[in-house]
Amino acid sequence: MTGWTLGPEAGLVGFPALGAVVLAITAARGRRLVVGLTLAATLVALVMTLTRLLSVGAYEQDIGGWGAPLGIGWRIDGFAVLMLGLSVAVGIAVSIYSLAYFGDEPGDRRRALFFWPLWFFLWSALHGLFLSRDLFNWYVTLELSGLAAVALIALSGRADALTGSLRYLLLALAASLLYLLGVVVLYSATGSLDLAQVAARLTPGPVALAAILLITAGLVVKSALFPAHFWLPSAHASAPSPVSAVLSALVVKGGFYILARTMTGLWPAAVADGVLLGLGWLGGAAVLWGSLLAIRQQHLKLVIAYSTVAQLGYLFMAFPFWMEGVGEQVASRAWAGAAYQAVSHGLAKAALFLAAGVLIHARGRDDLDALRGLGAHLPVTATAMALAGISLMGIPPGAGFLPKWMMMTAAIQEGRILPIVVLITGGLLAVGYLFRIFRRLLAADDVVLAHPPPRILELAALGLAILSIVTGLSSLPILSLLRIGAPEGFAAYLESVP
Amino acid sequence: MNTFIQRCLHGGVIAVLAGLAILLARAVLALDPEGRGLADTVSAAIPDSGVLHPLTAVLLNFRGYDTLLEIAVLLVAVLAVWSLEPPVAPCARVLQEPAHRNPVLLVGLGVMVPMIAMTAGYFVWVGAYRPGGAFQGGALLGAIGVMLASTGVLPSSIHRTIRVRLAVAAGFLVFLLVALLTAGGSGTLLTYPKPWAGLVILAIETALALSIGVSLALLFMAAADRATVHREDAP
Repeated sequence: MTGWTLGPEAGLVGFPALGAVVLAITAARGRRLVVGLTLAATLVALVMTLTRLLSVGAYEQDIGGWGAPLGIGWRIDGFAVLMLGLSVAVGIAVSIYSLAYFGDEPGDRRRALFFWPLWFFLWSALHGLFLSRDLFNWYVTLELSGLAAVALIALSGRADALTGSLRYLLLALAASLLYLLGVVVLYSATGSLDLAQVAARLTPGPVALAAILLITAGLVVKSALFPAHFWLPSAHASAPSPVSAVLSALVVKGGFYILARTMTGLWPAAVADGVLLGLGWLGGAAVLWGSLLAIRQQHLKLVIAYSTVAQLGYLFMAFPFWMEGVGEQVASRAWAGAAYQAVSHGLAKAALFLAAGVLIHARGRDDLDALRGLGAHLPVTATAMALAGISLMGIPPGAGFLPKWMMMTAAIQEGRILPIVVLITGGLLAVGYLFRIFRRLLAADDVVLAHPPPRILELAALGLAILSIVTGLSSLPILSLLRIGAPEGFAAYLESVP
Repeated sequence: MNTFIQRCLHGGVIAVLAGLAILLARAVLALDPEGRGLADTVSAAIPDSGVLHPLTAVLLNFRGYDTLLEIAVLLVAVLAVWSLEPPVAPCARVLQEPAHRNPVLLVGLGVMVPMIAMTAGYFVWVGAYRPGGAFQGGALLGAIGVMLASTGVLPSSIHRTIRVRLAVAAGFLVFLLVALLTAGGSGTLLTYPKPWAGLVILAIETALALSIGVSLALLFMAAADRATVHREDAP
């Protein structure tokens, strides 16, 4: 579908990048204006992209007008726009929050100086990642988002943040190289980097298997799937709170997104059942292990970070349903469930981290016992935490309910017991670790706030938490969005949605 | 007990990587040794690219969007290093001790720096026809910065004035503006108008070379700053 004039989707990559480079040059001057314009322009670009998607269906864009295999292509379909929507929603909330979060103390001023360009570059790279259908371009977006994320983690200046970010840097580099090696193998075998062309030319065999395994290994580390999750908690917990929100809600989803695209794109010919099953097992183990460790943590942000390890596991539990012999109805239900889970977790987790930032700011400490009695002083933040918690625990009407329910019904249809057990246990364990937070928040202790937080911080967290409930209530629009341009073999369930 | 678990983990990682290596070897042996990838497709499209050298055509035209993002990576790297500076940076000028200012060195610099700068410009220009281009030219410009800083002609820690920041960001900014302008003109991102393609690429390459050079030099100086601070910490 070439021949379209430039799509508004280019603005999703271009505007944040322009904002980033302008802020890198002008530093603090006119920051509020540049940030405001960037947010508004990016939001408009998203709305226009969505409008075009709804009017013409899934469409493609050849950058430079060369077309594959010579040039790089974008593919704009329901899945891509859903993830872009998540990114824009979280991005706007985090940006508004950060304007107030980085105050006027000398250390803060330096942090704000670097936070804005780094964050906008990260935002731009993520949008490029969600739009792309080119295997090498994905590598570049992973590099850009990864390096920006490393610098953002280190911004807090704490010793554990430096350790965490350095560990993340080394692992992310190794993971990128594994992924790149797999891409090189695919390119040598097929002479193209475009996912659709690679899929058409690739034949099952040792080459395809090696490529899939290398790509999977790299992306598993990038998206912190158990047992490669060990870098995540220290990095996500030690970063400044708005950065934690972005990392947990968006950055780890990048690896999952590319993996899901690659697997569904190359499916079924060039994807091995063993790889899909293995991913499912690791996902299940992540749910249990991450939740158990979350229950044992004594620091607020570590609880939330380990919860990310657990919630990411659900995404990967969908992969075994794509094995050969599973009906399209079930496979597509699991696929849609995973995409839905990516969005619902993103919104809820960002809200939790933003709220945690408010609480830590108010008390000046981040151990769990510091939360005692804060609920009475900061009811807005406590509400935000509760709403986000409902979504994470998978209780209706939270957005976390339906994806887990869709996976549960897929497992029931296939007669698989283990996923059902993991889904139920994971939900119960989530109740366990979240109530350790709520119990203290709602305790009747009398405390004095060290610093009353700016109102806008609380409202940004609440906004995202409300959005996560709204997302849970609007399942039909989301599923019909996913139906637009759903990959071949993954549409049957969505077709049956009214 | 802890070391036992650690050893098991290390063993597991090594086993996984060894397995991947064996699979990779099998895959490489199974690949077609005559495979030429996209070389023929690229050669066929060269006349439309505005340049004559395939490498430049791929980097700046066919896959220019990748290069745009790679330049952003370099800019992010500079920002990342700057953001790590110690809050108060007492930049002692160890690199500028008078011993370095000996006349032979200064005369040598006076000869070498203009020559290198000219070679850098040549590389940028010649990239259209043969190996060369922004990255090679930029690397040479970076070398000039390293030479000037380590001989004390340039202060080892440059103030990050707006001019310096502009020089670091120029490559990305020019590239991005071209992307936006072409988007308005031709309807697709980074499609250069054909008769102007060569000129547009040269303009982008020049800005890229400047930014790459300045960035590399600044990364070196940031490391030198750090080393200086450490030396001061020592008793």
